[in-house]
Amino acid sequence: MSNPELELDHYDVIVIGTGLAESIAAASLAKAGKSVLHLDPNEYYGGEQASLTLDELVEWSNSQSSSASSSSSSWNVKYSSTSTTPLDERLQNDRRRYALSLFSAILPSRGDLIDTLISSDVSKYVSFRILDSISLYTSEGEFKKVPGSKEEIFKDKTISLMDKRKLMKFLLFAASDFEESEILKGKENQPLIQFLQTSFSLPTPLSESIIYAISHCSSPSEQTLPALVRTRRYLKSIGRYGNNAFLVGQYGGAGEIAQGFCRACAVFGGTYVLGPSAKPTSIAETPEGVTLDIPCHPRPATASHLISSPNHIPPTLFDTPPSGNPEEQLHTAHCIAITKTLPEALRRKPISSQKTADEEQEQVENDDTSLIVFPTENGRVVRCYVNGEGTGSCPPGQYIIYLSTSIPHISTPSPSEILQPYLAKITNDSVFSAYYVSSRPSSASIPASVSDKIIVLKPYAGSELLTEGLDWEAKQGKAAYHAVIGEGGKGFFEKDITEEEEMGIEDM
Amino acid sequence: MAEETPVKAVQVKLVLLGEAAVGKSSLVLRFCQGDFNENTSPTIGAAFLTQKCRLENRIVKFEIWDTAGQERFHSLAPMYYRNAQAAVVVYDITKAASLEKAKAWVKELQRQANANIVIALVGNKLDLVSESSTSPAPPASSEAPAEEEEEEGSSEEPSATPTPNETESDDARQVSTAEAEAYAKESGLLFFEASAKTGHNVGEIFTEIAKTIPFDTIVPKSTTNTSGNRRSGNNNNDNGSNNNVNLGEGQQAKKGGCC
Repeated sequence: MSNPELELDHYDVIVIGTGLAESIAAASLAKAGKSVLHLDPNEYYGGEQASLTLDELVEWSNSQSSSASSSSSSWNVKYSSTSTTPLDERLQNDRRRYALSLFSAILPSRGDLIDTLISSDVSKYVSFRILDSISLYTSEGEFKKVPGSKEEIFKDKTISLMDKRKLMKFLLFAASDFEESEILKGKENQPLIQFLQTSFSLPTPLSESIIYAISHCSSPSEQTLPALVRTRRYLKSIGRYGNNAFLVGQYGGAGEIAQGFCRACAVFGGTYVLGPSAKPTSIAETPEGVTLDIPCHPRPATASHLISSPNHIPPTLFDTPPSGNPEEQLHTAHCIAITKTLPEALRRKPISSQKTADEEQEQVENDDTSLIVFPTENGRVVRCYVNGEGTGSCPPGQYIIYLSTSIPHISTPSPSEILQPYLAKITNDSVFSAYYVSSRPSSASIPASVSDKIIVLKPYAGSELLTEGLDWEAKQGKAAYHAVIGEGGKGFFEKDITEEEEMGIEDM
Repeated sequence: MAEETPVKAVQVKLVLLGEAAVGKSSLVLRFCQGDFNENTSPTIGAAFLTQKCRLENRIVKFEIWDTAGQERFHSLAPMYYRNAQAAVVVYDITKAASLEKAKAWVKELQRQANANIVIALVGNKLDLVSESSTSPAPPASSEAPAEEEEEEGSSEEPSATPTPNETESDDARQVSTAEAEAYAKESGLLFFEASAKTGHNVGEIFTEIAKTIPFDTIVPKSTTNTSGNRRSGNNNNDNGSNNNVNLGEGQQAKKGGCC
């Protein structure tokens, strides 16, 4: 029972890495009739977007700290300063029941990934829930829920009537085609906080709520126009599936979605090889395309196109040498923690206490998922994203806590020194925690493609990964599809007639 | 046709496993469409097939996931096993090695899938062996034994069809009923020998699975498993779909009423 070799020596497209963008590209190309070989040197799916079990995360953490990350191209996302607490016996036994994301992100209900999930039918394989709440940690040390809808704003007793009017005025503006608006003219590059205060007379606390919990900016000084464009999309996302703009992917989110696209690719005939036997020992460009030596095949495998994230491409293949300027990287400190007690921020207080006592049983269901934003003195926000058992990412009664914040330097202080104080505000009862730093190259430094045969997918480069990262991946996947198919080819996940007929047997 | 019992259909995810070319897809096509195709190519383009199974007290709607070839290089994603309540592990009774592969898949299921998943071990291609004393089933059709039943990855294993010099004899059988049955028994699996080609025993596999699934542990969310956690939607076999969002809502014209 030796391992089978590949069925073909030549493929239309070879894709390396099973990150979300790569998987979307692979699925869309297989759907369009291309023969696809999809490789991942990792033993797990998802690449940079992987969702790992608890033991896999510990292993990942150990391997990051041991491997000298400087060896590969500086266009990669790199991880450093990794550490985890040890697994006790209970955690060890339950290790497979966790799906911990290296790319913790929520999905706006309108945008590229949602569109792609629907048009590809991959929405059949993955499940989502509405994000239960967004809270802001106030200077008084309280978690204040940010109203998600008009109705909730009206009900909120902490906002004065006057401020409510100003807030509504701003929200209407932000949801409109403001590019044409006189209000914005000349202020596009103004810091958002200034724009909110001067153009809409919003008081500082309310402005901050908008900046951190509605526009999801990492800093109050972010430029007004790009922040407004994002805000509009989030506002328009409210109500599509529920009272919150965002969806939470189950079973770890991004990694599960990537697996869904890989399955779609396989269903359309794509071939999958994972692990060491899928790690190319050489990649070369030829006049016809690319040639790869791969351990799983006795002969070289060739393809007309190669799609990959930068970390699998040998630096020698890039025409322009990677700009190794470390200043151009964006560093983020991360924490992944697990607790077995309900974080206070997720507790839903009974709205009017006299009512609940009477109900047949107390029907107050606490939040299962939440985004909690901590503004900080240095202007860099700390974001906390909590996944409960409803996400299928942890055993019943437990919560996964993701914390992240931008940091100016990799080295000091350590991610745990930076984030531990915030974790302590969420829970004092964590049974596991992992810390690490990710360093993302600035997008300008990466060429979109090495040649017309080798398409390099860019990692997300901004500081809004939590709300923008998933759609970025979808955009990259779609761009790779078009780079292969060319002008006038079949549309991205375009449905054809025979498939409509097949729907009959597929049901659902 | 008049028995209109208002029973709610229970949805069950069933995954197929087994070596390439043992007839996984053929079994499902037979079950879902009553069809057999001599040259089944890997099922391209179908996300999964569905078929209902009517029991006395309930209707079980199987959502059947094919490996889509991802088993060849052991690259089946965790998603494949996720929330599967049943699995059909197929081997070819004319290929001893395929039973060994099946055993490996059973191990994999025990590692990856829900603890209480119902697993059926199915020896396919019963039609290729003529009457056998050990077979619990009556002999199936005796037509052209050298059929070309192939599926995913057929090319790699030309010996999938019986060896030419022995086509007519019992010797085509390489796995005795007793051996496979003993293994199934000790591992707590349901066991069948079947033929996707003739349809023999195929329906029985799925009916028996439907009867065996412990539905009491899967039923509605309102009856919570334990600690007042209504949001359960977990690694347990609860699909928890109550709180899930249907992304396609209002997007695609929903095809009504089929199957």
